[in-house]
Amino acid sequence: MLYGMLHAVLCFVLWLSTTLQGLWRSVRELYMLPLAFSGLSVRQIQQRARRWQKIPAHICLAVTDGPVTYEPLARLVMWCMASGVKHITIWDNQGLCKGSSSLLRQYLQKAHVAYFGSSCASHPLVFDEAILAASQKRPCASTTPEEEGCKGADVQSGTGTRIHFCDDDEGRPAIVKAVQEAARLQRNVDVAWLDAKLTATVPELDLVLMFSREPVLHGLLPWHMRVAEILFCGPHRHVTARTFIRAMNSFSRCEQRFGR
Amino acid sequence: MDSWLRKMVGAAVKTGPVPQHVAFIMDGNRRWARRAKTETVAGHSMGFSTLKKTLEWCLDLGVHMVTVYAFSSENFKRSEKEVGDLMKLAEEKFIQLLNEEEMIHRLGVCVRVLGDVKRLPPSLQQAIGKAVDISKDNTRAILNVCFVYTAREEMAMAAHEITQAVQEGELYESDITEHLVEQCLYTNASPPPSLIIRSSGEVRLSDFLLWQGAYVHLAFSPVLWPDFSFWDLVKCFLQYQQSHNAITTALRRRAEHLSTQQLDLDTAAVVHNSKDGSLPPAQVRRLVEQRQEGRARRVQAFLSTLHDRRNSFFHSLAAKAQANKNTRAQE
Repeated sequence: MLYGMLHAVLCFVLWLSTTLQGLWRSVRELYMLPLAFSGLSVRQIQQRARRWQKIPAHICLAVTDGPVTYEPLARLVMWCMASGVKHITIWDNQGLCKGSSSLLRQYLQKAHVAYFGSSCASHPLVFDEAILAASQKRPCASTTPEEEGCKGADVQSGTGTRIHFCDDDEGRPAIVKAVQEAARLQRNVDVAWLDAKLTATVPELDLVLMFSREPVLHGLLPWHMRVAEILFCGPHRHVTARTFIRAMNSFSRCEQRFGR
Repeated sequence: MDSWLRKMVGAAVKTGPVPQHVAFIMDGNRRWARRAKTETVAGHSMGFSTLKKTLEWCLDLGVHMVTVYAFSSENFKRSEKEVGDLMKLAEEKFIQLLNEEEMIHRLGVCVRVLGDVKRLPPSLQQAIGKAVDISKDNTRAILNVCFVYTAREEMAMAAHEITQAVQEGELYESDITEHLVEQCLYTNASPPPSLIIRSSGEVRLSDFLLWQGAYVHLAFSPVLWPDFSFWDLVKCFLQYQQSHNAITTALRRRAEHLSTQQLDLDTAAVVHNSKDGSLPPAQVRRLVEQRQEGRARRVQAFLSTLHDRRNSFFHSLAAKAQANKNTRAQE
């Protein structure tokens, strides 16, 4: 009983210290307060990106906090694109994003046009071929001629930001499948072979923005996570430009030593 | 006063769920040494003292399994002097441990070394072999030391063992499942950790327990490892307790999903293998059960061989160490 009460007090102290730390952080970053209430234009992001020492080549937006809302995700993707990120993986543990990728694709295409306007052809949005092939099999709502124009440029150019939709299947099950294939082919397995198999379509991650209620990875791409910076960002529905800028600032400052 | 307060807080923490297995990434020794304006090796030595204290705190808090990331295969890229100093320090500590054999058995401590030990200097290999061999039957407290380890190498090693076994006919291709891969990892003798703690404020796993870390509470502590205190540990435990329910639910759902998926695969295979594809449901069920029993037998036999092979590797190192000792004594 006494220890139970002490436990409750300890939990309260932990909660209080976390809240105060959050508040202190907000005070220190007072200059970022407007970002918590407003969005960021492509131009604003590009101006900030010049100050970052490094930019992640591959960002994963991982959602584990319930049903996925596409609008905040589309916003995040546009901010990543404007920063110059080359690969963006959208992952959720229930496979909702991958399952309804054609709908999410439409959201992204609309946001692409809204954010980049006439310059969308010079910042192409390229979807994973596997996703495109899968979505062509499903009926999907028609897109505007402007969106079609952007999409056409993406596929033809083959450059720009590539979007991958992943779920649990690309995690442990992908490793198991690779081992099954090696057994079938009767070949020796080493790190290089497994790496070539597993990162053929989705490259290694540099930064993970984890939208979850608790700091747990929920099976997120174990092979790809090797040296990724992991930032837990709270619920994805409430994501603001401040969250994104904090994450990019933090990545820019971090020192990756790769064992050295 | 301090120890009395610790006991009270420890007892309070134990009223909530306590992780069965905790893993540590002991980062920040070199930064600590730089800050203290001392040699790098002094930072590593201080880090070892913190490890010793942390293990005691873990035992006090009811944790009986600990895994520590002592040396990554990538650390060979560091300067020759630092790698040499680390090897010397490790050998010294393993020898110290061997000198306290009586205490190891009294406390029931089992030391396991996970990683590609063959890449270490022979004298360190032998000290490791002896420590692992003498403590292998203890079960009260388990310490896994990851030495010359990366999670990718661990997964590739498991994949290699499995594909070899399939080639030799010990396993079938259809026996390769998540459960089998997990059972072939170095950590197979312990359940996966529930909490991974990384010190020094870095927020990445750095190729540590990538497979096992899938459903684990990650606690990133801002303090450098030599400064890691009992209170930092308590804070991580309290944070873990807040995630405990979510982790348990996620693990249960995952197990259910895998079991259903395997059943579907086995049923499909049974139906596919039948000549006319129209077996009565009762017969399908029976054949599926037979298939699963056969798999369980093969996997069990394979894992037991793998376990024996790993044990005999450490036993042969211990025997070499003993032979060297005898030779030196005769001289």
